[in-house]
Amino acid sequence: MISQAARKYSNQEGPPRLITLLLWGTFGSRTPAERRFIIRSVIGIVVALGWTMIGFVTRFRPVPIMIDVEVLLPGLILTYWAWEWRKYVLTLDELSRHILFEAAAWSSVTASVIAFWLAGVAVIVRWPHYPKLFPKVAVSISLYLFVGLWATIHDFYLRRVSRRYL
Amino acid sequence: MKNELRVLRAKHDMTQAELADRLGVSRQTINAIETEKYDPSLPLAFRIAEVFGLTIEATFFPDKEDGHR
Repeated sequence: MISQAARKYSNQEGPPRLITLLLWGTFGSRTPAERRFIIRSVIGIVVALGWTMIGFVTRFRPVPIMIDVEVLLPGLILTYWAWEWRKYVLTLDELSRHILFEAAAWSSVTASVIAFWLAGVAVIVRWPHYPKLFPKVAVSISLYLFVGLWATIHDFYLRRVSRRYL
Repeated sequence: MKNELRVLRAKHDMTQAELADRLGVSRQTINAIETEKYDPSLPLAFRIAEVFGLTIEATFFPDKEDGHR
């Protein structure tokens, strides 16, 4: 019988669930560590998107406080997420960690290449047209776009690498 | 890298889950090692050999093709 401790750290009870791979980049094992990571990631996303929505509704008034917070928010949220990700990764066993890191390595290279191409094309076709009122906000939106791009590619690689080993 | 894990488990009447439990890894990791899809780290390979009371050389063997990689 698998002990409680081993079950806790066993991250793959069956093949990875596609939906959790796509949404969270995890193995969908629903271990306590993974649940905690997913819940806290959701909180981070809600705070980031919520603040941005409130900002657009209120037209970032009072300026500059609203915009300053908006610009600092991606860094704050990503730092929080990275801390939670670190704790999650430390609960994974050898193979899972190997899969996660391999997927992350390929994702970093691929996402950087795509992002540079997209950035060049965006300048040529003059997209997106950010409101002139909020030029600073454009920076944080670009960061969110890159994270979204990276996460999508990471899901692809996580699924691909997982299928090779599991 | 080739290994005798499946045979050794059978000799010791041990399931994948039991071996995984003793090593503190997931059953899928043991399965991936047995099917030779994944080469374990050196510390894990030593621990596996230790569970069966063998040396690492008696548990894992170099694949002929490994040298050509």
